[in-house]
Amino acid sequence: MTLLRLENVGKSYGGVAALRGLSFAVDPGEIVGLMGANGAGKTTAFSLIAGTQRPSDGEIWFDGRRIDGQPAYAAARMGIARTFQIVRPFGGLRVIDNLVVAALYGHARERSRGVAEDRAREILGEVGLARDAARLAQTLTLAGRKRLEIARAIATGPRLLLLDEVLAGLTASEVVEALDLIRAIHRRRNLTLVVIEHVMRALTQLCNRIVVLHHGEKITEGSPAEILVDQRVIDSYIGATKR
Amino acid sequence: MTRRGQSVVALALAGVALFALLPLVVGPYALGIGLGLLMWIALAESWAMFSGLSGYISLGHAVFYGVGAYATVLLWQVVPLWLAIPLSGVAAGLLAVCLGWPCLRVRGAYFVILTLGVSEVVKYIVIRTEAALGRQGRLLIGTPSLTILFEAMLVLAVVSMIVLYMVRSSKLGAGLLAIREDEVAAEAVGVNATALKLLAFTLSALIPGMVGGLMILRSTYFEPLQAFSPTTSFTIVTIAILGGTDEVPGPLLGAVLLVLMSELLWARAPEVYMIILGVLLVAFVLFLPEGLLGRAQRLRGPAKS
Repeated sequence: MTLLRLENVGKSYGGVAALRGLSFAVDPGEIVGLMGANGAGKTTAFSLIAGTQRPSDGEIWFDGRRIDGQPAYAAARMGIARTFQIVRPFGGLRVIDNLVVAALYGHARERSRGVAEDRAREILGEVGLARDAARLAQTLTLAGRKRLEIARAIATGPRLLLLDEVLAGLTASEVVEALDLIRAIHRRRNLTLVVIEHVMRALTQLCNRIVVLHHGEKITEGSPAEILVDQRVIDSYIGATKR
Repeated sequence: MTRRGQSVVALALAGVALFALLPLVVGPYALGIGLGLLMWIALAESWAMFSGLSGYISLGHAVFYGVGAYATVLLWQVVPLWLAIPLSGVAAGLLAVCLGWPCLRVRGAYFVILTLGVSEVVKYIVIRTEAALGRQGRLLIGTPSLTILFEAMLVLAVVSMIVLYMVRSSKLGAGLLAIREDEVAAEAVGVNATALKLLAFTLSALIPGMVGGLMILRSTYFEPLQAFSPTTSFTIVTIAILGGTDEVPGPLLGAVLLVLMSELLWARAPEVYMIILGVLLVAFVLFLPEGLLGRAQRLRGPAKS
Protein backbone atom coordinates (compact mmCIF):
# COMPACT_ATOMS: atom_id res chain seq x y z
CA MET A 1 0.00 0.00 0.00
CA THR A 2 1.27 3.47 -0.83
CA LEU A 3 1.75 6.01 1.93
CA LEU A 4 1.77 9.14 -0.20
CA ARG A 5 0.24 9.64 -3.62
CA LEU A 6 0.10 12.75 -5.78
CA GLU A 7 -2.33 12.74 -8.71
CA ASN A 8 -2.02 15.43 -11.36
CA VAL A 9 -1.09 18.04 -8.81
CA GLY A 10 -0.63 21.59 -10.08
CA LYS A 11 0.04 24.94 -8.55
CA SER A 12 -0.04 28.28 -10.26
CA TYR A 13 0.56 31.76 -8.96
CA GLY A 14 -1.55 34.12 -10.99
CA GLY A 15 -0.82 33.02 -14.52
CA VAL A 16 2.51 31.37 -13.73
CA ALA A 17 2.45 27.62 -13.28
CA ALA A 18 5.03 26.50 -10.70
CA LEU A 19 3.94 22.90 -10.97
CA ARG A 20 1.92 21.02 -13.63
CA GLY A 21 0.32 17.58 -13.51
CA LEU A 22 2.72 16.09 -11.02
CA SER A 23 2.01 12.46 -10.13
CA PHE A 24 4.11 10.10 -8.09
CA ALA A 25 3.68 7.68 -5.22
CA VAL A 26 5.79 6.73 -2.22
CA ASP A 27 5.63 3.39 -0.43
CA PRO A 28 6.19 3.03 3.31
CA GLY A 29 9.88 2.83 4.19
CA GLU A 30 11.10 4.22 0.88
CA ILE A 31 13.55 7.06 0.41
CA VAL A 32 12.48 9.02 -2.65
CA GLY A 33 14.47 11.91 -4.05
CA LEU A 34 13.07 14.99 -5.74
CA MET A 35 15.56 16.39 -8.19
CA GLY A 36 15.60 19.34 -10.53
CA ALA A 37 17.20 22.69 -11.22
CA ASN A 38 16.28 25.83 -9.30
CA GLY A 39 12.68 26.77 -9.97
CA ALA A 40 11.73 23.25 -11.08
CA GLY A 41 8.96 23.11 -8.46
CA LYS A 42 10.52 20.88 -5.81
CA THR A 43 9.85 23.08 -2.80
CA THR A 44 6.41 23.92 -4.15
CA ALA A 45 5.62 20.20 -4.17
CA PHE A 46 6.72 19.99 -0.50
CA SER A 47 4.60 22.95 0.48
CA LEU A 48 1.54 21.36 -1.13
CA ILE A 49 2.11 18.01 0.59
CA ALA A 50 2.76 19.63 3.97
CA GLY A 51 -0.25 21.92 3.69
CA THR A 52 1.76 25.14 3.75
CA GLN A 53 0.08 25.88 0.42
CA ARG A 54 -3.06 24.67 -1.30
CA PRO A 55 -2.77 23.05 -4.77
CA SER A 56 -4.57 24.72 -7.68
CA ASP A 57 -5.61 21.32 -8.99
CA GLY A 58 -5.07 17.60 -8.51
CA GLU A 59 -5.30 15.40 -5.44
CA ILE A 60 -2.89 14.45 -2.67
CA TRP A 61 -3.50 11.27 -0.67
CA PHE A 62 -1.76 10.26 2.53
CA ASP A 63 -2.40 6.93 4.22
CA GLY A 64 -5.68 6.48 2.35
CA ARG A 65 -6.99 9.96 3.13
CA ARG A 66 -7.21 12.94 0.85
CA ILE A 67 -5.18 15.75 2.36
CA ASP A 68 -4.80 18.48 -0.25
CA GLY A 69 -6.01 21.83 1.02
CA GLN A 70 -5.64 20.82 4.66
CA PRO A 71 -3.89 23.34 6.88
CA ALA A 72 -0.24 22.71 7.75
CA TYR A 73 -0.91 21.90 11.40
CA ALA A 74 -3.38 19.18 10.38
CA ALA A 75 -0.81 17.60 8.07
CA ALA A 76 1.75 17.64 10.91
CA ARG A 77 -0.73 15.95 13.25
CA MET A 78 -1.39 13.26 10.65
CA GLY A 79 2.31 12.47 10.60
CA ILE A 80 3.80 14.60 7.83
CA ALA A 81 6.84 16.54 9.01
CA ARG A 82 8.98 18.86 6.93
CA THR A 83 12.14 20.85 7.20
CA PHE A 84 12.55 24.22 5.57
CA GLN A 85 15.14 24.96 2.91
CA ILE A 86 16.03 28.16 4.72
CA VAL A 87 16.01 26.90 8.29
CA ARG A 88 13.35 28.32 10.57
CA PRO A 89 14.37 27.52 14.15
CA PHE A 90 12.47 29.02 17.07
CA GLY A 91 15.53 31.20 17.62
CA GLY A 92 14.60 32.75 20.94
CA LEU A 93 13.82 29.40 22.54
CA ARG A 94 16.23 26.86 23.95
CA VAL A 95 17.19 24.07 21.57
CA ILE A 96 15.32 21.52 23.67
CA ASP A 97 12.17 23.66 23.74
CA ASN A 98 12.21 23.69 19.94
CA LEU A 99 11.65 19.94 20.13
CA VAL A 100 9.30 19.96 23.10
CA VAL A 101 6.68 22.01 21.27
CA ALA A 102 6.93 19.66 18.29
CA ALA A 103 6.51 16.60 20.53
CA LEU A 104 3.50 18.16 22.26
CA TYR A 105 1.66 19.27 19.12
CA GLY A 106 2.81 16.95 16.33
CA HIS A 107 1.73 13.43 15.41
CA ALA A 108 3.28 12.11 18.62
CA ARG A 109 1.13 14.43 20.77
CA GLU A 110 2.97 13.53 23.97
CA ARG A 111 0.76 13.67 27.06
CA SER A 112 2.87 15.89 29.23
CA ARG A 113 5.78 18.28 29.12
CA GLY A 114 7.90 15.82 31.07
CA VAL A 115 7.38 13.04 28.55
CA ALA A 116 7.97 15.49 25.69
CA GLU A 117 11.24 16.59 27.27
CA ASP A 118 12.47 13.01 27.63
CA ARG A 119 11.67 12.39 24.01
CA ALA A 120 13.37 15.64 22.99
CA ARG A 121 16.56 14.71 24.87
CA GLU A 122 16.64 11.32 23.22
CA ILE A 123 16.36 12.87 19.75
CA LEU A 124 18.96 15.54 20.53
CA GLY A 125 21.33 12.75 21.47
CA GLU A 126 20.61 11.02 18.21
CA VAL A 127 21.41 14.08 16.06
CA GLY A 128 24.41 15.09 18.15
CA LEU A 129 22.97 18.18 19.81
CA ALA A 130 22.71 16.80 23.34
CA ARG A 131 25.26 19.24 24.71
CA ASP A 132 23.47 22.20 23.17
CA ALA A 133 20.07 21.44 24.70
CA ALA A 134 20.02 24.51 26.95
CA ARG A 135 21.41 26.96 24.41
CA LEU A 136 19.21 29.40 22.53
CA ALA A 137 18.59 28.03 19.05
CA GLN A 138 19.77 31.25 17.41
CA THR A 139 23.27 30.73 18.80
CA LEU A 140 23.84 27.48 16.85
CA THR A 141 26.04 27.33 13.76
CA LEU A 142 24.40 26.69 10.38
CA ALA A 143 25.26 22.99 10.58
CA GLY A 144 23.78 22.93 14.09
CA ARG A 145 20.64 24.66 12.94
CA LYS A 146 20.23 22.18 10.11
CA ARG A 147 20.47 19.35 12.64
CA LEU A 148 17.95 21.14 14.81
CA GLU A 149 15.62 21.46 11.84
CA ILE A 150 15.75 17.69 11.35
CA ALA A 151 15.49 17.00 15.08
CA ARG A 152 12.41 19.19 15.44
CA ALA A 153 10.73 17.46 12.52
CA ILE A 154 11.47 14.05 14.08
CA ALA A 155 10.14 15.23 17.42
CA THR A 156 6.67 15.51 15.89
CA GLY A 157 6.80 11.70 15.59
CA PRO A 158 6.24 11.65 11.82
CA ARG A 159 5.54 8.75 9.47
CA LEU A 160 6.60 10.76 6.44
CA LEU A 161 9.56 13.13 6.64
CA LEU A 162 10.14 15.74 3.94
CA LEU A 163 13.74 16.97 3.91
CA ASP A 164 14.29 20.15 1.91
CA GLU A 165 17.98 20.61 1.03
CA VAL A 166 19.30 19.80 4.47
CA LEU A 167 22.78 19.33 3.00
CA ALA A 168 23.00 22.68 1.23
CA GLY A 169 25.63 25.01 2.62
CA LEU A 170 27.41 22.26 4.58
CA THR A 171 31.10 21.46 4.17
CA ALA A 172 32.12 18.17 2.57
CA SER A 173 32.74 16.45 5.88
CA GLU A 174 29.49 17.81 7.30
CA VAL A 175 27.65 16.37 4.29
CA VAL A 176 29.05 12.91 5.02
CA GLU A 177 27.99 13.19 8.66
CA ALA A 178 24.55 14.45 7.73
CA LEU A 179 24.03 11.58 5.27
CA ASP A 180 24.96 9.06 7.96
CA LEU A 181 22.55 10.81 10.29
CA ILE A 182 19.68 10.67 7.80
CA ARG A 183 20.31 6.98 7.11
CA ALA A 184 20.46 6.21 10.81
CA ILE A 185 17.21 8.05 11.47
CA HIS A 186 15.50 6.30 8.58
CA ARG A 187 16.59 2.89 9.82
CA ARG A 188 15.86 3.41 13.49
CA ARG A 189 12.54 5.17 13.21
CA ASN A 190 11.00 3.17 10.41
CA LEU A 191 10.38 6.36 8.47
CA THR A 192 9.47 7.17 4.92
CA LEU A 193 11.53 9.97 3.41
CA VAL A 194 11.14 12.34 0.51
CA VAL A 195 14.32 14.29 -0.04
CA ILE A 196 15.05 17.40 -2.08
CA GLU A 197 18.73 17.80 -2.72
CA HIS A 198 21.07 19.61 -5.00
CA VAL A 199 24.08 17.51 -4.05
CA MET A 200 23.70 14.90 -6.80
CA ARG A 201 25.98 12.31 -5.35
CA ALA A 202 24.25 12.48 -2.01
CA LEU A 203 20.88 11.93 -3.64
CA THR A 204 22.02 8.93 -5.64
CA GLN A 205 23.62 7.38 -2.54
CA LEU A 206 20.60 7.92 -0.36
CA CYS A 207 17.55 7.20 -2.49
CA ASN A 208 15.80 4.10 -3.77
CA ARG A 209 14.06 6.13 -6.40
CA ILE A 210 14.34 9.61 -7.85
CA VAL A 211 11.68 11.83 -9.40
CA VAL A 212 13.08 14.47 -11.74
CA LEU A 213 11.29 17.78 -12.25
CA HIS A 214 11.94 20.31 -14.95
CA HIS A 215 10.08 23.61 -15.26
CA GLY A 216 7.26 22.39 -13.05
CA GLU A 217 6.78 19.04 -14.75
CA LYS A 218 7.97 15.52 -14.07
CA ILE A 219 10.27 14.41 -16.86
CA THR A 220 11.19 11.02 -15.52
CA GLU A 221 11.32 8.74 -12.50
CA GLY A 222 13.50 5.77 -11.71
CA SER A 223 16.36 4.24 -9.76
CA PRO A 224 19.49 6.38 -9.31
CA ALA A 225 21.32 4.26 -11.88
CA GLU A 226 18.59 4.82 -14.46
CA ILE A 227 18.35 8.53 -13.76
CA LEU A 228 22.06 9.13 -14.12
CA VAL A 229 22.12 7.86 -17.69
CA ASP A 230 18.78 9.33 -18.78
CA GLN A 231 19.42 11.75 -21.64
CA ARG A 232 16.53 14.07 -20.65
CA VAL A 233 17.93 14.40 -17.16
CA ILE A 234 21.40 15.08 -18.45
CA ASP A 235 20.05 17.74 -20.80
CA SER A 236 17.80 19.45 -18.35
CA TYR A 237 19.69 19.25 -15.13
CA ILE A 238 23.20 18.04 -15.22
CA GLY A 239 23.96 19.74 -18.50
CA ALA A 240 22.54 22.96 -17.25
CA THR A 241 24.58 23.10 -14.08
CA LYS A 242 27.82 21.49 -15.16
CA ARG A 243 30.63 23.88 -15.86
CA MET B 1 10.67 21.96 44.41
CA THR B 2 14.17 23.41 44.38
CA ARG B 3 15.48 25.50 47.25
CA ARG B 4 15.41 28.53 45.01
CA GLY B 5 11.82 27.78 44.05
CA GLN B 6 10.88 27.44 47.69
CA SER B 7 12.40 30.76 48.60
CA VAL B 8 10.68 32.47 45.67
CA VAL B 9 7.32 31.08 46.79
CA ALA B 10 7.99 32.08 50.38
CA LEU B 11 8.94 35.57 49.30
CA ALA B 12 5.84 35.86 47.13
CA LEU B 13 3.57 34.70 49.97
CA ALA B 14 5.18 37.20 52.33
CA GLY B 15 4.67 39.97 49.78
CA VAL B 16 1.01 39.09 49.30
CA ALA B 17 0.45 38.91 53.07
CA LEU B 18 2.13 42.28 53.51
CA PHE B 19 -0.07 43.81 50.85
CA ALA B 20 -3.19 42.22 52.31
CA LEU B 21 -2.45 43.88 55.67
CA LEU B 22 -1.71 47.27 54.11
CA PRO B 23 -5.22 48.73 54.72
CA LEU B 24 -4.62 48.31 58.47
CA VAL B 25 -1.54 50.50 58.52
CA VAL B 26 -1.76 53.12 55.78
CA GLY B 27 -4.18 55.94 55.08
CA PRO B 28 -6.59 56.21 52.14
CA TYR B 29 -4.12 58.12 49.95
CA ALA B 30 -1.44 55.47 50.13
CA LEU B 31 -4.05 52.76 49.79
CA GLY B 32 -5.26 54.42 46.60
CA ILE B 33 -1.75 54.28 45.21
CA GLY B 34 -1.57 50.64 46.23
CA LEU B 35 -4.83 49.95 44.43
CA GLY B 36 -3.42 51.61 41.31
CA LEU B 37 -0.27 49.53 41.51
CA LEU B 38 -2.24 46.29 41.85
CA MET B 39 -4.44 47.32 38.96
CA TRP B 40 -1.47 47.84 36.65
CA ILE B 41 0.06 44.56 37.77
CA ALA B 42 -3.16 42.69 37.01
CA LEU B 43 -3.55 44.40 33.62
CA ALA B 44 0.06 44.03 32.54
CA GLU B 45 0.38 40.38 33.63
CA SER B 46 -2.82 39.50 31.74
CA TRP B 47 -1.61 41.37 28.70
CA ALA B 48 1.76 39.60 28.86
CA MET B 49 0.00 36.23 28.93
CA PHE B 50 -1.14 36.96 25.40
CA SER B 51 1.17 39.57 23.89
CA GLY B 52 4.36 38.61 25.70
CA LEU B 53 4.04 34.93 24.84
CA SER B 54 2.61 35.16 21.31
CA GLY B 55 4.44 38.28 20.14
CA TYR B 56 1.14 39.79 18.96
CA ILE B 57 1.30 43.23 20.59
CA SER B 58 -2.23 44.26 21.56
CA LEU B 59 -2.76 48.00 21.78
CA GLY B 60 -6.42 47.44 22.48
CA HIS B 61 -6.63 45.99 25.97
CA ALA B 62 -8.30 49.20 27.17
CA VAL B 63 -11.43 47.94 25.47
CA PHE B 64 -11.62 44.96 27.84
CA TYR B 65 -11.13 47.22 30.82
CA GLY B 66 -13.84 49.54 29.47
CA VAL B 67 -16.33 46.80 28.68
CA GLY B 68 -15.78 45.31 32.12
CA ALA B 69 -16.50 48.68 33.67
CA TYR B 70 -19.58 49.09 31.50
CA ALA B 71 -20.86 45.62 32.34
CA THR B 72 -20.44 46.25 36.07
CA VAL B 73 -22.32 49.53 35.72
CA LEU B 74 -25.16 47.85 33.84
CA LEU B 75 -25.31 45.01 36.36
CA TRP B 76 -25.10 47.39 39.32
CA GLN B 77 -27.95 46.60 41.73
CA VAL B 78 -29.25 44.04 39.23
CA VAL B 79 -27.11 41.15 40.45
CA PRO B 80 -24.94 41.02 43.60
CA LEU B 81 -21.43 42.40 43.16
CA TRP B 82 -19.64 39.10 43.78
CA LEU B 83 -21.40 37.92 40.63
CA ALA B 84 -21.26 41.19 38.67
CA ILE B 85 -17.46 41.37 38.68
CA PRO B 86 -16.88 37.87 37.27
CA LEU B 87 -19.65 38.49 34.73
CA SER B 88 -17.80 41.64 33.67
CA GLY B 89 -14.77 39.45 33.04
CA VAL B 90 -16.92 37.10 30.96
CA ALA B 91 -18.27 40.05 28.97
CA ALA B 92 -14.70 41.11 28.19
CA GLY B 93 -13.87 37.53 27.20
CA LEU B 94 -16.84 37.35 24.81
CA LEU B 95 -15.80 40.65 23.27
CA ALA B 96 -12.27 39.27 22.87
CA VAL B 97 -13.64 36.34 20.85
CA CYS B 98 -15.53 38.73 18.57
CA LEU B 99 -12.58 41.10 18.11
CA GLY B 100 -9.88 38.46 18.02
CA TRP B 101 -11.53 36.49 15.24
CA PRO B 102 -10.91 39.18 12.58
CA CYS B 103 -7.89 40.93 14.17
CA LEU B 104 -5.72 37.86 14.72
CA ARG B 105 -5.52 37.24 10.99
CA VAL B 106 -2.93 39.96 10.57
CA ARG B 107 0.48 40.26 12.20
CA GLY B 108 3.08 42.75 13.27
CA ALA B 109 2.35 46.44 12.98
CA TYR B 110 -0.98 45.70 11.28
CA PHE B 111 -2.22 43.83 14.32
CA VAL B 112 -1.05 46.62 16.65
CA ILE B 113 -2.92 49.31 14.69
CA LEU B 114 -5.98 47.13 14.22
CA THR B 115 -6.37 46.43 17.94
CA LEU B 116 -6.09 50.14 18.69
CA GLY B 117 -8.62 50.88 15.96
CA VAL B 118 -11.26 48.36 17.00
CA SER B 119 -10.98 49.35 20.65
CA GLU B 120 -11.72 52.94 19.62
CA VAL B 121 -14.66 51.75 17.50
CA VAL B 122 -16.12 49.91 20.49
CA LYS B 123 -15.62 53.03 22.60
CA TYR B 124 -17.64 55.14 20.18
CA ILE B 125 -20.34 52.50 19.93
CA VAL B 126 -20.73 52.68 23.72
CA ILE B 127 -20.72 56.50 23.62
CA ARG B 128 -23.44 56.48 20.95
CA THR B 129 -25.47 53.90 22.83
CA GLU B 130 -25.33 55.89 26.03
CA ALA B 131 -26.26 59.06 24.17
CA ALA B 132 -29.19 57.30 22.51
CA LEU B 133 -30.34 56.16 25.95
CA GLY B 134 -30.15 59.76 27.09
CA ARG B 135 -27.41 59.03 29.62
CA GLN B 136 -24.80 61.64 30.45
CA GLY B 137 -22.60 59.39 32.52
CA ARG B 138 -23.81 57.08 35.27
CA LEU B 139 -23.35 57.57 38.98
CA LEU B 140 -22.96 54.59 41.29
CA ILE B 141 -24.05 55.16 44.86
CA GLY B 142 -23.17 52.90 47.76
CA THR B 143 -20.11 51.21 46.25
CA PRO B 144 -17.85 49.07 48.47
CA SER B 145 -15.13 50.66 50.58
CA LEU B 146 -11.61 51.25 49.32
CA THR B 147 -10.33 48.47 51.57
CA ILE B 148 -12.65 45.91 50.01
CA LEU B 149 -11.75 47.03 46.48
CA PHE B 150 -8.07 46.89 47.40
CA GLU B 151 -8.33 43.32 48.67
CA ALA B 152 -10.33 42.27 45.61
CA MET B 153 -7.73 43.86 43.33
CA LEU B 154 -4.98 42.05 45.23
CA VAL B 155 -6.72 38.79 44.40
CA LEU B 156 -6.87 39.72 40.70
CA ALA B 157 -3.21 40.76 40.65
CA VAL B 158 -2.13 37.49 42.27
CA VAL B 159 -4.35 35.42 39.99
CA SER B 160 -3.02 37.19 36.91
CA MET B 161 0.53 36.34 37.95
CA ILE B 162 -0.34 32.71 38.64
CA VAL B 163 -2.12 32.46 35.29
CA LEU B 164 0.89 33.82 33.39
CA TYR B 165 3.20 31.47 35.27
CA MET B 166 1.02 28.44 34.59
CA VAL B 167 0.33 29.25 30.95
CA ARG B 168 4.01 29.90 30.30
CA SER B 169 4.97 26.41 31.39
CA SER B 170 1.95 24.70 29.81
CA LYS B 171 1.36 23.17 26.41
CA LEU B 172 -0.54 26.32 25.44
CA GLY B 173 2.47 28.43 26.43
CA ALA B 174 4.86 26.28 24.40
CA GLY B 175 2.62 26.74 21.37
CA LEU B 176 2.35 30.50 21.87
CA LEU B 177 6.11 30.91 22.20
CA ALA B 178 6.58 28.93 19.00
CA ILE B 179 4.09 31.24 17.25
CA ARG B 180 6.04 34.23 18.55
CA GLU B 181 9.28 32.84 17.16
CA ASP B 182 8.01 31.68 13.77
CA GLU B 183 4.35 31.12 13.04
CA VAL B 184 4.90 29.17 9.80
CA ALA B 185 7.31 26.78 11.50
CA ALA B 186 4.93 26.47 14.46
CA GLU B 187 2.13 25.34 12.15
CA ALA B 188 4.52 22.91 10.50
CA VAL B 189 5.02 21.08 13.81
CA GLY B 190 1.28 20.86 14.45
CA VAL B 191 0.42 24.07 16.28
CA ASN B 192 -3.04 25.32 15.32
CA ALA B 193 -2.00 28.95 15.49
CA THR B 194 -5.43 30.46 14.82
CA ALA B 195 -7.09 28.54 17.63
CA LEU B 196 -4.27 29.09 20.12
CA LYS B 197 -4.07 32.82 19.50
CA LEU B 198 -7.83 33.22 19.92
CA LEU B 199 -7.81 31.18 23.11
CA ALA B 200 -4.95 33.18 24.61
CA PHE B 201 -6.43 36.51 23.51
CA THR B 202 -9.72 35.58 25.18
CA LEU B 203 -8.03 34.39 28.39
CA SER B 204 -6.02 37.59 28.56
CA ALA B 205 -9.20 39.70 28.42
CA LEU B 206 -10.93 38.11 31.43
CA ILE B 207 -8.97 39.77 34.22
CA PRO B 208 -8.83 43.22 32.57
CA GLY B 209 -12.64 43.04 32.39
CA MET B 210 -12.85 42.37 36.11
CA VAL B 211 -10.26 45.07 36.84
CA GLY B 212 -12.40 47.56 34.91
CA GLY B 213 -15.38 46.53 37.00
CA LEU B 214 -13.53 47.11 40.27
CA MET B 215 -12.11 50.44 39.14
CA ILE B 216 -15.50 51.80 38.16
CA LEU B 217 -16.68 51.00 41.68
CA ARG B 218 -13.74 53.03 42.91
CA SER B 219 -14.44 56.08 40.73
CA THR B 220 -18.23 55.65 41.22
CA TYR B 221 -18.83 57.43 37.95
CA PHE B 222 -19.00 55.86 34.51
CA GLU B 223 -18.17 57.97 31.51
CA PRO B 224 -17.21 56.04 28.35
CA LEU B 225 -14.47 58.41 27.20
CA GLN B 226 -12.67 57.77 30.46
CA ALA B 227 -13.47 54.10 30.89
CA PHE B 228 -12.34 53.25 27.35
CA SER B 229 -9.42 55.67 27.27
CA PRO B 230 -6.63 54.29 25.05
CA THR B 231 -4.18 55.62 27.66
CA THR B 232 -4.88 52.39 29.55
CA SER B 233 -3.55 50.36 26.59
CA PHE B 234 -0.55 52.63 26.17
CA THR B 235 0.31 52.39 29.85
CA ILE B 236 0.13 48.59 29.79
CA VAL B 237 2.57 48.48 26.88
CA THR B 238 4.80 51.03 28.63
CA ILE B 239 4.94 48.80 31.70
CA ALA B 240 5.85 45.85 29.51
CA ILE B 241 8.61 47.85 27.83
CA LEU B 242 9.99 48.94 31.19
CA GLY B 243 9.94 45.56 32.88
CA GLY B 244 9.93 42.87 30.23
CA THR B 245 7.12 40.85 28.77
CA ASP B 246 7.22 37.12 28.89
CA GLU B 247 7.81 36.15 32.49
CA VAL B 248 5.95 36.99 35.69
CA PRO B 249 8.54 39.34 37.26
CA GLY B 250 8.75 41.54 34.12
CA PRO B 251 5.35 43.25 34.21
CA LEU B 252 5.50 43.28 38.01
CA LEU B 253 8.77 45.19 37.95
CA GLY B 254 7.52 47.51 35.22
CA ALA B 255 4.32 48.33 37.13
CA VAL B 256 6.21 49.10 40.35
CA LEU B 257 8.62 51.31 38.46
CA LEU B 258 5.91 53.19 36.60
CA VAL B 259 3.73 53.79 39.66
CA LEU B 260 6.74 54.85 41.69
CA MET B 261 7.95 57.28 39.04
CA SER B 262 4.49 58.68 38.48
CA GLU B 263 4.06 59.35 42.19
CA LEU B 264 7.48 60.91 42.61
CA LEU B 265 7.28 63.07 39.52
CA TRP B 266 3.62 63.93 39.53
CA ALA B 267 3.72 65.85 42.79
CA ARG B 268 7.14 67.43 42.31
CA ALA B 269 7.10 68.36 38.67
CA PRO B 270 3.53 68.39 37.44
CA GLU B 271 4.39 70.44 34.33
CA VAL B 272 7.09 68.17 32.99
CA TYR B 273 5.93 64.85 34.45
CA MET B 274 4.57 63.43 31.19
CA ILE B 275 7.60 64.70 29.29
CA ILE B 276 10.01 62.92 31.62
CA LEU B 277 8.01 59.70 31.37
CA GLY B 278 8.04 60.04 27.59
CA VAL B 279 11.80 60.52 27.44
CA LEU B 280 12.32 57.55 29.73
CA LEU B 281 10.13 55.42 27.51
CA VAL B 282 12.08 56.36 24.39
CA ALA B 283 15.33 55.66 26.23
CA PHE B 284 14.10 52.20 27.21
CA VAL B 285 13.02 51.37 23.67
CA LEU B 286 16.40 52.46 22.33
CA PHE B 287 18.74 51.07 24.96
CA LEU B 288 16.86 48.37 26.85
CA PRO B 289 14.37 46.90 24.38
CA GLU B 290 14.18 43.62 26.30
CA GLY B 291 13.18 45.43 29.51
CA LEU B 292 14.83 45.42 32.90
CA LEU B 293 14.17 41.75 33.50
CA GLY B 294 15.43 40.71 30.09
CA ARG B 295 18.64 42.67 30.61
CA ALA B 296 19.14 41.25 34.08
CA GLN B 297 18.82 37.71 32.72
CA ARG B 298 21.22 38.40 29.90
CA LEU B 299 23.81 39.72 32.33
CA ARG B 300 23.40 36.66 34.52
CA GLY B 301 24.12 34.23 31.71
CA PRO B 302 23.27 33.96 28.04
CA ALA B 303 22.56 30.23 28.00
CA LYS B 304 19.77 30.42 30.54
CA SER B 305 16.17 31.08 29.75
